[in-house]
Amino acid sequence: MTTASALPSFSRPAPSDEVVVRAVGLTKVFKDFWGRPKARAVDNVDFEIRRGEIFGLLGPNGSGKSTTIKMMLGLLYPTKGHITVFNQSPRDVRTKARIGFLPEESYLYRYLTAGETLDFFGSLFQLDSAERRQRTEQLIEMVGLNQARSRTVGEFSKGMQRRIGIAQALINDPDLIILDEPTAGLDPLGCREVKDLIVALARRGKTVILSSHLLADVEDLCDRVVIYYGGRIHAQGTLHELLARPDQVRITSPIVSRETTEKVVSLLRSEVGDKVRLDNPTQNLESYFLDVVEKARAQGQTSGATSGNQVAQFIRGGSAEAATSQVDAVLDRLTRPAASPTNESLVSTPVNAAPVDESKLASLIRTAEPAAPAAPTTTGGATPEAPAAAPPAAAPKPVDLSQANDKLSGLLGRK
Amino acid sequence: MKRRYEIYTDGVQNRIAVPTGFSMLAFLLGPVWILLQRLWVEGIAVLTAEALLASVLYVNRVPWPFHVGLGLGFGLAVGFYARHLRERSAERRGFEYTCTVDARDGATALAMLVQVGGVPLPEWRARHLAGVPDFAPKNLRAIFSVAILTLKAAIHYRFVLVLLFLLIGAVFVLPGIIKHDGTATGFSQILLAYTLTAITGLLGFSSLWLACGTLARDIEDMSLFLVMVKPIPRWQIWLGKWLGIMVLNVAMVAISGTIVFGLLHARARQLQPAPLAKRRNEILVAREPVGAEIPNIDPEVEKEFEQRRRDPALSQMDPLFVKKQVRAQLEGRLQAVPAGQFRPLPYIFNLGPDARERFKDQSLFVRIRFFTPEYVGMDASFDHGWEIGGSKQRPAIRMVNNFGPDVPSEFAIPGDQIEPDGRLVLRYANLGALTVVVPLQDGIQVLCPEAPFAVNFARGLGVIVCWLGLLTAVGLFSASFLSFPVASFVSLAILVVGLSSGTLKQVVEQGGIIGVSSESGTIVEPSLFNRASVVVYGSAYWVLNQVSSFSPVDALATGRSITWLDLARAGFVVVGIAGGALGAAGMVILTRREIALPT
Repeated sequence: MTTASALPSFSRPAPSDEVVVRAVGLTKVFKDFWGRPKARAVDNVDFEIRRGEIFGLLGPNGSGKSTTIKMMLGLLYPTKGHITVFNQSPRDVRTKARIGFLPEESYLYRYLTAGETLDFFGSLFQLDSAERRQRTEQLIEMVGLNQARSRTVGEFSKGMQRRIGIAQALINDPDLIILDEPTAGLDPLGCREVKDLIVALARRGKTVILSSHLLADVEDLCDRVVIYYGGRIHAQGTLHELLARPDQVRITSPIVSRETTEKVVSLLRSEVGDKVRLDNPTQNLESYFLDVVEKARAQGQTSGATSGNQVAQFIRGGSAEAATSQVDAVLDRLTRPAASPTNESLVSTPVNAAPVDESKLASLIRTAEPAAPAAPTTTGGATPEAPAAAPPAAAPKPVDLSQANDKLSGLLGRK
Repeated sequence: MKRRYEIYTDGVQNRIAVPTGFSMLAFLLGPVWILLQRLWVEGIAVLTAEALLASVLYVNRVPWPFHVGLGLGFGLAVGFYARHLRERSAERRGFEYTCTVDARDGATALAMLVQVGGVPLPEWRARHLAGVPDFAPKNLRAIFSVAILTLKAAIHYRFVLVLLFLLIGAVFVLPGIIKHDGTATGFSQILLAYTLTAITGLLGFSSLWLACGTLARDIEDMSLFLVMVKPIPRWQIWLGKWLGIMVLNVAMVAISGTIVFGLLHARARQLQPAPLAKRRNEILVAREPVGAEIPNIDPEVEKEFEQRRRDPALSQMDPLFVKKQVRAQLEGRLQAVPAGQFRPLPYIFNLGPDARERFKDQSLFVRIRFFTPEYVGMDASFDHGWEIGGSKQRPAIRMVNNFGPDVPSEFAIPGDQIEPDGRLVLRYANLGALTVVVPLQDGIQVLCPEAPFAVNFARGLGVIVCWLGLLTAVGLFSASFLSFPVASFVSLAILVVGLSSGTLKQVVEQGGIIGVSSESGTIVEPSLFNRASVVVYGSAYWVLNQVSSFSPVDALATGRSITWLDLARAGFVVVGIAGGALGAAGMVILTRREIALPT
């Protein structure tokens, strides 16, 4: 059931037949110092993940999910069997260049700021400084850390660390995104943004592997899942295959009169006996919570604006359609090739993209100058500037970035 | 000309434009400029530090150029750090970063923001970050970014600050508290020896600790986990960390070395001409030691050995042992000069074909260190007679001087006595009452001026940097497979074992390990195991011997030259071979190691 505030029903292309990850007889046995087997973390596992899929790894703690992910990333080596990613060894740097990974915990350097963190990871992908700056900016904006860009990661809350973790996982515009508990530590709005993002990535042909304890998240997002227990896969398939109950049927309708209801029930009972159940459907708590927050926001109420709220405004916009286009717009910009003069002009709205009008600028400088003495500025002192600078009438209308993003999506094509 | 401005906005939309980069005003005004930014604590701290250092210089009677240099240093630091200070000042006043704009001046930058409605363009929002520059080759960018990350960590955790404080403290405090013989030469020697040893020791331990910490800690707290899933080969992570620590080491050696050099020259103003000249000739020079030619005694050894073999008492003994004894006896004859006699053979020094021209009208120094067969007390001294040079064109010069045994002594000789073919001939007469022994290898040397002291000093610091490179490699090697505390312990252990190379030498001299004769001290029958052990121990001993043979502190303190070749050899042997072997092993281990194993 989809409610007004639940995930929008995106029209995603069907996953292709191209296999991105293939595990055959994958086994991992952890050994002690003397080489004696200690634990069989993954036991003879086979699975395939195809391009464009959102693939769920489910299982209780210690069931082998994380070990499988670590082997997929080339951090652990299989004891038996093999695993390939993009038909190559996961330890190959060419494979790693196509992967984005969000670990369960924040393993980021605590002394780097958000900007420095993304710049560092960007440089590991050999990106030029202009492209690193551009991607860093877009990702910081996307994950809603604008106000915290100068703070070190060590000062971040868990949710903020999660956000910057997601940003670093996307810095290289990966083809395969591995997310280990991506919504852990996020507030419901943040969770929703992440889920929107995952769907948007899949729509663009990216493959997403999701490991989560939150079954609702997996149910909302995944095309196929595997369920681990004791290192073995105990169930595998599409959600429809796994969850459908062919021996039962549900009828949903608008409210009808009591007599009609009783007639229908008695008719059904005449055929199947007492196995008929009648109740009012309920929406899930996440949907209800998001609905309440959305209404409160529309009424202008605030309960302490957080960066999470700003993310919601930026990514989700007012409607599901707008949300789709804005997330896509951000992803479009991320997937754009290295900055070039032509591309650079595409980033901005027509208003912003126009070169600075020198005559207007001169008049603005004259307006600002009385309160902004030039000497301290040019000789090194911080320039005290006029409050609110120019009068509102003189200033052009503030730029609506969503328009720019829509135009950008239009120019580059939606996926 | 455009400049980059950072724009900050406060809660009520007041904006300020802060120019980035070097600030000339901050450079000129220093702490006053900081105080004008209303950064009271920072301003007072810089002012106090500047006053303290100026007082130290004043107390040490350091001439005014050094005061100017100090002021310039502080000014440059404040000038380059101005952006951060302004940022701090703005943030304390409630401003937050808004965007970065390239503009002619601050007013234009603000106006540009106003013109776009106060909402920065996307390309303005990014803040300039000190990352890897674009001119770095793409395939090396990952190495450089790891190096920069390592440096940032060292700076963030105040490691650099503490290290700098300790180094400067050691350099300034040590000369004041250590005792010397009261002469200018003695003071300079002590200053060089103690401060350079302190610098090497401090930086050596810090390199080991930092190398162990930066890799082992990153693995333990899983930070490296996230780096290793990016497209960077693990050997590049290793190398990046080494490079980062070495950049720090080079900076620290340069700063502390400059201070030592400054202090050394600052004392010159207080000295009389005679001690000044002595100091300049003996310490603040770069003199290349040239040893005397060692005569080939092999034919005589063989001849003597054949004679001894005919002796029935000796024919039963191990021939190798007998030959060894014969050689020792003949060498002893060459080293010993009986009282009141000339040494039978003259000392011949080959100074190079152009030596006569190079050292014309210059003084060369002869360094001699001799021993006596019996203990004569610390104050005993002996007369020595010398006959220097001597040819048809120029007669020999005779000199008599008086030195004590066991310690090196020097005396000047004119460079004009060199033969046209570059040879210098010295005849020695023992004018004392006891036989003296002058070792063949390093008992007597001629010291030739090779380069200015500043160049020699810089080359000496270069050798120290090579040593630090090896220690950094040791630390990183241990941390490639061990936890931080264990890696620190193992690194120190490697250092200790490496310095005690006696056992290795013994195995090589014995010719193996198993079946050593107690009589001869060598193995009786060569076996495969013994041969293999000689190869392994011999290689290790050769490397350790090569590595430990570079002693820049001793050379600088005694005015001996460290040539470019020495520096290149130090780089090749210490960093290239020893450090490279450890580095290769560390990189292989790190590459093969499974990261993120459950603990």
